[in-house]
Amino acid sequence: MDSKQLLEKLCCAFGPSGCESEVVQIIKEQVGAYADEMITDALGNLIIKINGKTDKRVMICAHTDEVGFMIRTADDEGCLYFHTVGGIDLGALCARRVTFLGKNGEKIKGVIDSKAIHCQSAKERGEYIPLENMHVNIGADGKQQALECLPVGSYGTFDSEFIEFGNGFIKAKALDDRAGCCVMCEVIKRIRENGITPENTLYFAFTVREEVGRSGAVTASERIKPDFALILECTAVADVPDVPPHKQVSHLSKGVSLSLMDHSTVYRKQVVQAMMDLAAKNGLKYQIKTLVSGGNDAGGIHKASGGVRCATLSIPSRYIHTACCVINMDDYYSAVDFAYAVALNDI
Amino acid sequence: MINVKSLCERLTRHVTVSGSEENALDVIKEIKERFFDELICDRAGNFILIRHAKSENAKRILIDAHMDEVGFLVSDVTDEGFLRVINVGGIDCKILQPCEVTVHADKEIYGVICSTPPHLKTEKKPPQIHELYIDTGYTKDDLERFGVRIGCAVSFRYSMTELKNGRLCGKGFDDKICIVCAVMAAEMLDGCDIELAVMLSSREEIGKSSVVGAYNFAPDYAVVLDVTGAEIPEEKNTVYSSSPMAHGPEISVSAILEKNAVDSLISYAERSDIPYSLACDGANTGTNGNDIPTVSVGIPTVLMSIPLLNMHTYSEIIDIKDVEYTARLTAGFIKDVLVK
Repeated sequence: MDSKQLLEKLCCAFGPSGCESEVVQIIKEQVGAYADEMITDALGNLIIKINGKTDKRVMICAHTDEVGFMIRTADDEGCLYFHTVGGIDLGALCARRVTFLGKNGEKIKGVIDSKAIHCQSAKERGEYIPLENMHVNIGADGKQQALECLPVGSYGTFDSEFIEFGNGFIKAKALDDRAGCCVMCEVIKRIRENGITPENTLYFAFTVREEVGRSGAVTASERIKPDFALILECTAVADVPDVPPHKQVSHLSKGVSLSLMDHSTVYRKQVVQAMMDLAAKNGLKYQIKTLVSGGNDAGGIHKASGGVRCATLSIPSRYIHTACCVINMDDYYSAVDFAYAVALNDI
Repeated sequence: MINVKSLCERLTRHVTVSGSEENALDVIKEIKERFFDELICDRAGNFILIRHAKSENAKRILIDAHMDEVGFLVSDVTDEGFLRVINVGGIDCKILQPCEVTVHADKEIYGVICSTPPHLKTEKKPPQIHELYIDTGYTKDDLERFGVRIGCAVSFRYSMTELKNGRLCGKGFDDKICIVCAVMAAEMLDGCDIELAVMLSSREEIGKSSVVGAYNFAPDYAVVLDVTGAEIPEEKNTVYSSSPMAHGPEISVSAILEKNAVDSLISYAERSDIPYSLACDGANTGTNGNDIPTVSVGIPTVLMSIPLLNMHTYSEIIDIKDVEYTARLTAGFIKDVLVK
């Protein structure tokens, strides 16, 4: 299976926060055999250990969960009302196709209903429908059938194909952060295929629940107690028309993006410098994330187990937390190269 | 018998943004081969399928369903390779950021509609059409090479899918589901001695070309088939008509439609036990039913609409039972009432 095929498999897997087991299972099948030790912890984090020459512990992580939905109630007409799981903009919901996990494990297709434009008042046209009024339509005939198919608490995600388009671009749901998971799988494979024993002992943590508070990353780092952690993420960029250059976080096709500071973490200067030095030495393609935005597992990890030095590499992504996340494969490959170099060197 | 799902899937797969209805010519020709004697494309772009009567004095009946769908046209190509668009027909910008589209140039080009990301906007308001762009992942030079230019049609790119209880979800059901209905009715009318025209009219979403087709065919009666908003909780009690799904077509009662014909349609539905609902449309039906009655010396016209959810989005929903009810009512009304 090549990178794109694995990325497709991971993105199309069903895994909103708290319901990541389908994703974890794919990862186990892909790289479980390469592990010196494999742990699934109480929260559902999958940790793959690769023994090094020394006991110095390096954690490399990416989160398995994606933003999604959870059913909260239904009305007499069979409309199903929902919470969002993780942050989804109201504009990304109306009329979108969704997939829910039925109580017997079957996938149920639905649509988030959207009032016809002709029937909207001028006021309604100028504002988003409040989340509490939005509902999913699965074609159910009344409340009873709706809740029989999808009981309260049922999970859903966007329904979106994996598409290659333009000059090396990919569109899919859940690229945040299945792209990071895929990078980790490739780094593990590359280490084993090259027959390398790394200096440091490596812990690849596929974490859960990043989108709802990063509890997975915290418990994983409490267990691993790493000396250094590399977080592999997708970051929202804004390299589209009408956004002035100084507000564009990073650019697609210009390499993986290295964070200086985001809403959850200020990265230590020495660590950032060491990452840059490593890139210079190995000719790695990267860019600096030039706007403070977003947050990631580093926000939990840097404060865990007595404090952990962290660095974050993000694959630039357009339209993040929607049905149509977009990345460029070149950036993905540059993330694999950079993460591989970090795995084999001291930061 | 016609397979509703498969004909609907094939019709909606062909992109017919208003003005490019001929894209579906292949399917139209197939329909002609199976059920009709003649296919005419008139000067306004209407496709008219005709099945000739056996006798010379047979009644002339027109069934109208429009062929076009809402979409976009490319209005500019930016230096960075993004496309600006304008909408063709009414489209709610709340469903666009992001959504998937196909740009129809020398080849079909995949794109995602985008605009300034929500976290950089000070006002949490839906974007307007001039604030939206299509991201194709190509440079301006690439796009030029692929024949992307101002005026290229852009369509929603979403396939048809099945929901519970025989409901279908897809784009362009407005009004291709009624084309399916009209063809079903034509099949049911096989052997009935009428001069039958099924008009797949053009440009309903942006104007009214149907008058040209109606003028040329000069029918004794016309049946217009279109879609109507299906009832959802927040649409109840509005001034716009809406009807429950899976309870048959909505029959329009309107000052501009022929009262005697509408009354006899309602009583025919009652005595043949076909479910229906009524809508009071005042003096505006919002369909070709507004225009056809006054063509030439006047054409007595009725209007039936299939309840549909999420109109003008890429996720329109219909119930297959409504398609069957509407086809039966159309065929039965023509055979047992109009030509009796």
